[in-house]
Amino acid sequence: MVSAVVAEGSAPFVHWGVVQISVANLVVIGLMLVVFVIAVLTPLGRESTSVEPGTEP
Amino acid sequence: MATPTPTPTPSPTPTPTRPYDLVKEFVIALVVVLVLTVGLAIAFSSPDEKAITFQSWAKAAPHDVVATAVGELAGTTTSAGYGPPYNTASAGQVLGPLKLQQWAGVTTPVDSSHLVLEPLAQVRGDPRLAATLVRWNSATPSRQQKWATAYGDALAKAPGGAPSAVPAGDYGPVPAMAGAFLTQAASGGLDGPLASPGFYGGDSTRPLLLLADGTYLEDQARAQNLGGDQWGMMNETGNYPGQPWLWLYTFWYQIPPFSTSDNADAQVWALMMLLSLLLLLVPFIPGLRSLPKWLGVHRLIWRRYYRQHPLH
Amino acid sequence: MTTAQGSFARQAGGEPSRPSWTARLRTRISHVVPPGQALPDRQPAYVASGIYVFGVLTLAAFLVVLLSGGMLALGGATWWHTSSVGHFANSLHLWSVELFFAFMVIHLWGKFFMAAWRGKRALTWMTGVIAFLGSIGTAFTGYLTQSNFDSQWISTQAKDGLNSVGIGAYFNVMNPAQMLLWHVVLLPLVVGLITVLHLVLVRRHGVVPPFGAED
Repeated sequence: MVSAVVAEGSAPFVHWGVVQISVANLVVIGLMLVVFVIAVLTPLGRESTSVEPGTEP
Repeated sequence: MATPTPTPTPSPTPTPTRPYDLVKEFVIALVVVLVLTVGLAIAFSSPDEKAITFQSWAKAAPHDVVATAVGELAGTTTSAGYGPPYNTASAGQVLGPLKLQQWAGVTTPVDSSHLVLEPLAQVRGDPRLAATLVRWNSATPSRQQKWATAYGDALAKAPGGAPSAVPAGDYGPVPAMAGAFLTQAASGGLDGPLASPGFYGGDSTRPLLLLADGTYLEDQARAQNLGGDQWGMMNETGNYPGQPWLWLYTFWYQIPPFSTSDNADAQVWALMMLLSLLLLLVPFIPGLRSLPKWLGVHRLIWRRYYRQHPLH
Repeated sequence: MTTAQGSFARQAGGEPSRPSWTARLRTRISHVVPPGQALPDRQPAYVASGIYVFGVLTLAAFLVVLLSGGMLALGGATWWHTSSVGHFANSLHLWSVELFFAFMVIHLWGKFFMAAWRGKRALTWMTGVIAFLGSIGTAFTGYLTQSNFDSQWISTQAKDGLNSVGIGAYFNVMNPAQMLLWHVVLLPLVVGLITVLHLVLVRRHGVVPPFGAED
């Protein structure tokens, strides 16, 4: 798959076909995807016991 | 006329609500961001690769300085042949019938030969250089171009581009001028004269055009994968994240037809403007605006709600 | 009670013949957001996922970007090259910007998958997109303002894109004196204004309901 992880200058890069991306950027994007998935799956607030029906803003 | 109170979100049955502290949420978010920011700043700091000065350029790549100076005199550099907004040497890029670059006009006039001649003219106490400049200035433009082009070609053929390896020829005062320019650069004398406006500077257009006309700046950039065909727009100097949000902008430059097009900049710009407009208008675009419903991620986001109010 | 002036003079206890500009503005402002919704202390029960915090995280990050930028402004545009405190301020600014974009894009992803433009919320989506694009432009002028090698390279490259469509004739990326002021004055003002508009629209129309829960 990935043809090379090359240190170019002082930074490592990943080469995959026409794509070249720095490891630093890849980590940022990877982290964003992980955080997104965790956020979607994580509930916010308790399963409501104190919900007032009909109190529409 | 007073604006009527906006209709609250319509809903067939009143929506249940629960208490929520928005201000507390903001304060928590602020603390989280501050902690993350300070932590990352302490852990990783930030890059600061020193600017190239003419002196450092002359030290690192003297033959490039000479070749660039000769190119400015011959009118063969990138800036000399650029077109608007610097000169009229070219019509610039087009988008079909749209000649936007040309229509915008020459608003930042730069005579590329002056990038060399002006600093040289400021040198005092060098009678030989003064005589050389007199010889140059009293020649006809076509004579000037013949000298400079001949010397430029000879430099390109010389091993390593070294002036010392150039065979004798009819180059007029150009070799002396280029040599004097290199001396001025190496002594730090070039980092001032091109500043605009004088004394306070502030506008670096002329020094930057001169620097970019050489190969040294680009060589240094490409060594760190900052080149246009290296997805460089996304990257930062050193081992740091750059601008990942520019991934789509730089992507087009990597593939045909843009990668080989003379009008690539205009074409990519237009394409990105169009895609940005599409993103802006998603709410109105049939198909695109229905995509989220079909993708179904909302079933995860609202799974608690759907447990109590199943979707049909 | 205003002082008697021309056509806005009042008889004691009477209404003005035409409402004053002040009264009209006051009425308009008070109707922008439903009563109690500017800072509500209740929210719909369907706001129950972690994805919902990324708007406020983006806003908080924006504030830290402004604060760290303000810190840099204290010492000036070239301070960070020679001062370790200045360099730390620059690091704070860089990382808060990375966080800002990360949170904003995650917020965008969430809002897309929720089709959050439903129920007359198109303008909320659109102001968000404009804020996103405006932020990219602001970051761009920031990179041009570093007065180092990165600025030298970015300016000489970016000029080609802007020149090709005529913009470079009026927006000179190689002129730090111009770029600095766009970065610290003009663009933050515009992005800030659009952000405020965006927030007001969220409060005005409320959080988008789930699919199937709307009209």
